[in-house]
Amino acid sequence: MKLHGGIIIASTVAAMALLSVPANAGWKRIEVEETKIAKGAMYATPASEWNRWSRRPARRGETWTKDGFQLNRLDFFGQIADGESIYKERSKKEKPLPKFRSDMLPTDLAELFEANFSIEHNITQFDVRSLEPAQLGGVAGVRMVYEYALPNDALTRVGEARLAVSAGQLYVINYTAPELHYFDASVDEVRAIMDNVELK
Amino acid sequence: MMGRAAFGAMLLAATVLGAPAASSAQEDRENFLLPPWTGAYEPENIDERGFWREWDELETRLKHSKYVVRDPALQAYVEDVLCEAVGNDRCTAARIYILRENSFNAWMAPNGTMGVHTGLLMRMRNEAELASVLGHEFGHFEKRHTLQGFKQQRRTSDIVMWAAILAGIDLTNIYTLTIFEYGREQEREADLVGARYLAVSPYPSRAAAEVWIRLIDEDDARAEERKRRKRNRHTRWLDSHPAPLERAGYLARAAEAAADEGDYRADRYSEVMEPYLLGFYEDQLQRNDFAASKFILEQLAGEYWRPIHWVMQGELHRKRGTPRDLVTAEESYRRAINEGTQRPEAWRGLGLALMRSGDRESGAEALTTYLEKVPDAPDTAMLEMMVRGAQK
Repeated sequence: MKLHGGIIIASTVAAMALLSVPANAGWKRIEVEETKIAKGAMYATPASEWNRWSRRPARRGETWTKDGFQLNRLDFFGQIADGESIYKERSKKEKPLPKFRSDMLPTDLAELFEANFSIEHNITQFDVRSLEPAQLGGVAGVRMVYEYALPNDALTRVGEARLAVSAGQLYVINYTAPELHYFDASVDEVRAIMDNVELK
Repeated sequence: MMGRAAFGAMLLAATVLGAPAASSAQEDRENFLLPPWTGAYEPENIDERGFWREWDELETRLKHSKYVVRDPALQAYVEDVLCEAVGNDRCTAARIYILRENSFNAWMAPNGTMGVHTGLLMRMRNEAELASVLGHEFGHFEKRHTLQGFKQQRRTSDIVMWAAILAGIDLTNIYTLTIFEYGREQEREADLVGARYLAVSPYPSRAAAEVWIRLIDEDDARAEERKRRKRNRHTRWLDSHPAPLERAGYLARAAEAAADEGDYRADRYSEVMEPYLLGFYEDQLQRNDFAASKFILEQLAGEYWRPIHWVMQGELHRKRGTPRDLVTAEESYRRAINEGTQRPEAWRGLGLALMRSGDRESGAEALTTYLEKVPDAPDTAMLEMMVRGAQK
């Protein structure tokens, strides 16, 4: 029995070690002050504290959350050049992502985001609630509000993304949260960040 | 309890199946008599009841999931096709959920929950093809494959655990292989049970092999575009299913043996799918899977391109958006409109394709028509601004 227990403990420790590998998660607190975002592609001053994940969604991208990704998530993508995808393309052969083209119409940008977001997160149900002109950091672009669902999940999840092209490069800020409580809880602060962000 | 007559019929079927090949077509047909339906299996012990409860919980979540397409007409139709495929006595054991998912798939759980992906409905060309896939899934259910798999997995994992404890041998790899091998045998069995359902259904058995051939061709198109190796020809060690080519082969042989006539019901199928097709296809287009999406459309349309197919082709090319694509897209939308499509998406697509090609004025005109047709579309505000911008 002793042997058995030892194996269980050893395998639990091994399993925990394994589990912590993919997360590889460093977290850094984002203070209420002017903050350099996505390797200097943007600058913004949040109204409250956030947590920044060490894993980047793109080369010049960054991910923040307050309460964990299931409850709220704010992604920044900056300086996406012609021919690049929004998210980092992790598998060309299995999950190729559509690429940004500098001649895209505002509606094309919305479709580009929809495909990138859905493929990256394996989402099969994505519906646009509204698509309208808006500014991102003072640059003319689009605001898209959408809802999506995860398999076997009863929660309605809502996202709000703003996209704009500045000097031929695409910038995106995307906020997602369950509609129940969490979306509204941070949306005003997020919209202020989208309005006031400085694009570099 | 199985009645004496039923047992006799099964015995007869089993004996006839082993008869020499020199039998008449009539005898061949009789080979495909289905065993009588004895009702859905009920869990018998504590393990099985626990396993059933897990599926019941999944089904409860599914009932409230946003992922389920709740459309009474479509639901009734798919249920009807299952009944035609497996017979009215069997089909009531299944509770179907149509799931919004662009992949080619369907599944059935031991408690009777059946999932049918919209990607499957989109790819099928006729009722017989849909019936063949639903029959295959019902075959897993009737043969209790998930339960067998569960038991097999428990047995094997017990052995693996004891081997690790007693001898420190790592059997994990072998364990994986046996489980996958087990899955393949079950897939074959479900295919052949499915073939028997089809043989006695109003549908032709040939439909099943045709589905697999098309699946292979679709993935070949995808492989070529993505510059990866083609798959589906040979079953490999870790595959959970027999290679589609192998399946197409034995299913074609089963169809030949059944020598049944039947009605594909292609017209009824396209009529029922017409209102949903574009929506299902948009979900497919979102996957950035151009070559396969083009293949799917060409297979669906065949020799008879209807206006909806031209709209779909417009969307396919507009979304890829190279200058040549935009020309094809424009032509496709125009053709749909000329041939009388009522889908407002044709004007939206035409307007956007023209605008991106640089013809802002004609683009604005088409978008205006779209906005007249759908004044409260989600993208109204954006399109109105684009129209105003073009008129300056």
